[in-house]
Amino acid sequence: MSDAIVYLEDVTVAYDGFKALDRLNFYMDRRELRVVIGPNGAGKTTLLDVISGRVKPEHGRVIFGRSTDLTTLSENQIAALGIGRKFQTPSVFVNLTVRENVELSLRRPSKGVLSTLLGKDAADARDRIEATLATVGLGAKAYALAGALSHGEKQWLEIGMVMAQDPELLLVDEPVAGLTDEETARTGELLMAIAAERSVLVIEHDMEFVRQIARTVTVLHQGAVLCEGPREQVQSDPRVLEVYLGQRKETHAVR
Amino acid sequence: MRKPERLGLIALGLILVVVLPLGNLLPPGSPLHVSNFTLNLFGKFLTYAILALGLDLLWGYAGVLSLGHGVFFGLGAYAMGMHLMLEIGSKSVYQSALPDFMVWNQVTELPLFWKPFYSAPFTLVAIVLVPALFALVFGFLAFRSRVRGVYLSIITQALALSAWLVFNRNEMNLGGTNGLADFKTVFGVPLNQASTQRALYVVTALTLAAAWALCRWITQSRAGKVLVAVRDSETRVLFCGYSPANYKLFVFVVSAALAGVAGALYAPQVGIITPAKMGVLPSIEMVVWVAAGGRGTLIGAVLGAIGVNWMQSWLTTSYPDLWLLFLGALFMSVVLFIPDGVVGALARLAQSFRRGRSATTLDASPLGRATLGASRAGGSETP
Repeated sequence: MSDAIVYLEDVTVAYDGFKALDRLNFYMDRRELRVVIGPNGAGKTTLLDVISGRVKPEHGRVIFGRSTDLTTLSENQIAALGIGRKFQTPSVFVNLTVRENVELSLRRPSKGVLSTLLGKDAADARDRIEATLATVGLGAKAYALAGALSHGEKQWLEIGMVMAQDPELLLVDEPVAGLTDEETARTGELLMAIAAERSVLVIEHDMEFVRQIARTVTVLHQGAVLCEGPREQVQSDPRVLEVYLGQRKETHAVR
Repeated sequence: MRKPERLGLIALGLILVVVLPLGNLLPPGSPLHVSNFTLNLFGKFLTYAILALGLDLLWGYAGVLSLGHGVFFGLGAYAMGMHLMLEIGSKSVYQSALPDFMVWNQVTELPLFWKPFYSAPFTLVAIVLVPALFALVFGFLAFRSRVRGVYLSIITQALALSAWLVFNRNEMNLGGTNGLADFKTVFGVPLNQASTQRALYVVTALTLAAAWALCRWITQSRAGKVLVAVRDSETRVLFCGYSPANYKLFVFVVSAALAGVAGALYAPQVGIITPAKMGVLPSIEMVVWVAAGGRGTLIGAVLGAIGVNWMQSWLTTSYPDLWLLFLGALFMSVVLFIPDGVVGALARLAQSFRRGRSATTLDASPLGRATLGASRAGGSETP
């Protein structure tokens, strides 16, 4: 608690009267890998939207690090602070090469028009690009267009892009949706490796995957935290079972 | 850039900058003679090519389709035209120091905003700064409010319509429907001499080369990659820490400035600028040039602007009824059959030729890059 990376206090987000988040309180420690689960419409993606600045809450505070209030900043300012976001559907630049995708994502002192126009890559930037590509296993495809990658490779490229931003906090939205079992396992290893040095917040439906990576799990329900704790404890919590079993569509996901 | 492409580019540059004006110097009987009329016509095409380069930077790279670039072209042309009008002095029909249309409209004193245009240096700065500042304000408001895609195209079209309406009004003191015309001299040199027109042509060709170099430099820089990234996925650019609005504003202003310079070179060579040049229709035609030539290639924009207009001048003299039908057919067939334009189609052809040849000798590279056309069509905005 003393060393929180992100802290949401009393956050409410409403779309046309529907409360996607309802007085949500949520905090995460530094270097923690947290998995957030919950039925459809529980507010999981909205939680990421609020932290990354895509959605402005109508009430509440979102504090990053010691005292930075994120609610007044734009998405790119928040990204520059060190919060990276990986989207649910792979979002990469299909008309650029894999390497250029990572190059643009690298953390830099300035990402303004002028410095980007005049800037040249130093040797250490090239090293960082190579290292990132090696980590996500795309070194051999550095000069292929990102649009030519498979679905799984695009997911890894996007994870690589977010890593290249060198974020303190990584927000990951359903990273294994649509992946094969093998790809899922690899993605899990990747995320755990990343979490060794940074804080990672993962949203996931796939319980198999949650078992692979989760230490602490938060369950969201109707825009608020239903329960939170070690994975085994959460899985046997009667309230969680009720929420999931009450929604037949989700039962297969919990298994 | 591949070797044949580079050679083609150098050849094109030499033809436009050196061969055409030299041909104009040859005696009229010579087989290589380029008539004053033809040279002047190409001077006009090259001003269009300068504009098309800026439009390609904006549309082909950043994916921002402006249907209002006639406005920036017009602003540059009018700024130049105002200076040329004032140069006429009292040699005009009414022999007044005021431009003829003001005498006709019973304006007795030169409006205040005309006065700085007596100065040639001021005019030269204004032809860049007036369209650029206008684009800066307009773009700032549009991109900050995250107006994008087809909505941005619609408001730029509205901009073209309103500019056309405003410039048509006599109260604007800009010549109303008739615009500015009857220029006599440019910076003190008589416009009706062949040598002046030749000099104007060479200046235009060199400006085109400089404009190409500027656009090429931008697209090759990391900022150029950010522009392509903005076209692919604006959201991802935002979450990479860049502000897409600033990048779009930057290219919007650069392309408006290029359009202004193009307009300023157009006015003395064609001898007239009217509001009809800045309306909705000419603005859409400009987009057709870029689409036909091939967007996102720069050279395609140049070839498209020259090619389409060359064809227009030929068709409107030989088959005047056919021109608009042809323009419509051209646009539709580009959209249907070669969405990446002539240059894009040629690049694809060359690539499949190369691949076919290498397949017979070596194994085709298993990691062949996706073709320009296929990948361009695959651009999507997620999530």
